Amino acid sequence: MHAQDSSTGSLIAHTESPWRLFWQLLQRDRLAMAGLGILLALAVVALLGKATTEWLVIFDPTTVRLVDKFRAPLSEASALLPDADRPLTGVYLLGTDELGRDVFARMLQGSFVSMSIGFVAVGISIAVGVVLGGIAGYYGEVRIGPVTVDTLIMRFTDAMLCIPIFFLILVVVALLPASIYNIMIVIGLTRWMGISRFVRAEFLSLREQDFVLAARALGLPAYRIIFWHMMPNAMAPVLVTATIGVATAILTESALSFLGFGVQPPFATWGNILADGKNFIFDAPWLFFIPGFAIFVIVLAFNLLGEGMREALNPKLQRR
Amino acid sequence: MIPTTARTLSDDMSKRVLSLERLHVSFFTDAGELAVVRDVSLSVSAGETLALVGESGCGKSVTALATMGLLDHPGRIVAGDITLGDDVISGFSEPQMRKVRGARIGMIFQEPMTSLNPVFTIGRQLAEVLRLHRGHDDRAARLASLALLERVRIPAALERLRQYPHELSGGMKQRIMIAMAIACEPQLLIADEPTTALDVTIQAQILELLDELQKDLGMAVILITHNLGVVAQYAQRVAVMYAGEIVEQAPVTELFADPRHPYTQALLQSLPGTVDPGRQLNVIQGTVPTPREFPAGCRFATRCGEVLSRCASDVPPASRHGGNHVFSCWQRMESTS
Repeated sequence: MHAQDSSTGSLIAHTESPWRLFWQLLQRDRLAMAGLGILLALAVVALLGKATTEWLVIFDPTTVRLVDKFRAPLSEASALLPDADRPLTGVYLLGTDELGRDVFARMLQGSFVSMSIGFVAVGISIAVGVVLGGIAGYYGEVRIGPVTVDTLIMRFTDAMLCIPIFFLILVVVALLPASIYNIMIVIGLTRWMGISRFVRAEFLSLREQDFVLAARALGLPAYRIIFWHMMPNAMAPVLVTATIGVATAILTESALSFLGFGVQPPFATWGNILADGKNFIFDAPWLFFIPGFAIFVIVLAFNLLGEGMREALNPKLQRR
Repeated sequence: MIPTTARTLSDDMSKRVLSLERLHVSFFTDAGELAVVRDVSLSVSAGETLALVGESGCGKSVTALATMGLLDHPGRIVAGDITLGDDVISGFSEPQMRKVRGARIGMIFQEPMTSLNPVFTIGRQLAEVLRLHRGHDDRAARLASLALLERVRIPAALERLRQYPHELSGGMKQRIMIAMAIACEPQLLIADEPTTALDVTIQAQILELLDELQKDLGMAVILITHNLGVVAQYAQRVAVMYAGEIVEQAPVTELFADPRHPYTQALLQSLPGTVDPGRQLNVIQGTVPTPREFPAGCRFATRCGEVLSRCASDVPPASRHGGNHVFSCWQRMESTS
């Protein structure tokens, strides 16, 4: 191969970035692509849901129609209803709940809330995990008093891992007002430990690599080496964890809502639709199964995509 | 023979680019202080190549890293000065050193395969140096990168800028490392075994390239190597290191013709070609002691064939032999005086 060194550049192949290679491998994984497809579709639904239930109200999730309580999916709206309260097509696509609210509209609204909680919470945990893990890995040997930076950060991580997170979240949510933002922040701040461990482990091996020494020898400042040069090389496991983490965050929010600690009415989330529905599971099973199925699908899709990414990033497979 | 401080080694003081003066580097481990580099003095002038030779683990790379201010914890400079041009850079703060690294001192490494960041294109990595030290904007950095690639004889430079490191051969990557190191026209280039990982034909090309760039830019070059053939061909002066000390320093021709230190002599005698074909090559008995086991006196005392009683306990001073030839050995000092 070295012999090509002096040859003229006639053999130059088209440029392939590591990310493009990853994408090509991921595309071969049908389950992962199915997961990605579902997620993209759900993301579109969530955005449309936000738009059509709050900004430009086409589907109104808050209208109470006491004459139309517990309508099954696909049933027609009652003729007694005032025109302003009628659903868009005159049909309740996913039925109505105990107050006669349109479940389809509530699911639409809830999709945006649930997904944004998932993404923002994971975003927070990535930010915290990556910064702490990066600092622990890069400055590992530096001492502050009697302990190293690494010891300080990683023992804190271990301590966080020892706390039963769900109960910590319950306590915090019980003390703070249960707004969407508080829930995002609480979930985010209690799920970063896995990421910081991954990033630290990656950094410990990256730190010994020549390109890091070379970057230092070029006079680059430490923050630039950590976040610009090392971080992209450590992102692979983080991405996988994050993908699966979004699913976990959505599940956590659902569980909180189910217990009544989650996002409070009038905001609908899949979790609190499910929680409301559980009281009527025999009378109006759709109230329970529709949000349950939606949560199942989104969690499955995130997990399939996460698994597919893990496979595609596996260096043994990349060699082909 | 008068012991000298090695200060006066390089003739032309005005052209001196770098000098290390009585540099001591120690690693502070749980087991105590390890004096890895002891009393190293050397200097290089503009346009000159100084070869730093010695076995693996003799402190060549630590000396280079100390010069760059890149010693990692638990290593530290405990004594001595490093002077670059008119600045004593061993006293520089980290932000000051960052302006020196990459701008006034360039460095290239042994492993071109891993010295480039795998997730960025060549163009981005080159541009980064130029933006950092020269304040170039994207366009200026791009033009300068193209010129640099042409300067290090990389064909189809425009395409290379868009490629990723894994698409290039080892020799090509080393050229790119050189391009990055000379991007800001440094006064000094430290080449830490730049060809060890490359095959022989590429080695020669890379060394020729370095030689040519040095002539163009008038850089001082410190060439770290254990290949004495390379030393003979490309260096003007040689410093031989053993166990963290410079045992002998001389102009190339003089060192090969008239080595003074027993270690240098043994090293040269162990080269193939010094004995008749079919006969066993000369070897230096034993291995380099670990830093924990370094003798208090001459560090070569444990393996030296001509050891004196004082060698193990007393550090031999630097002695002069002719104009530019300095060595540290009790035995030779006494036999010549």
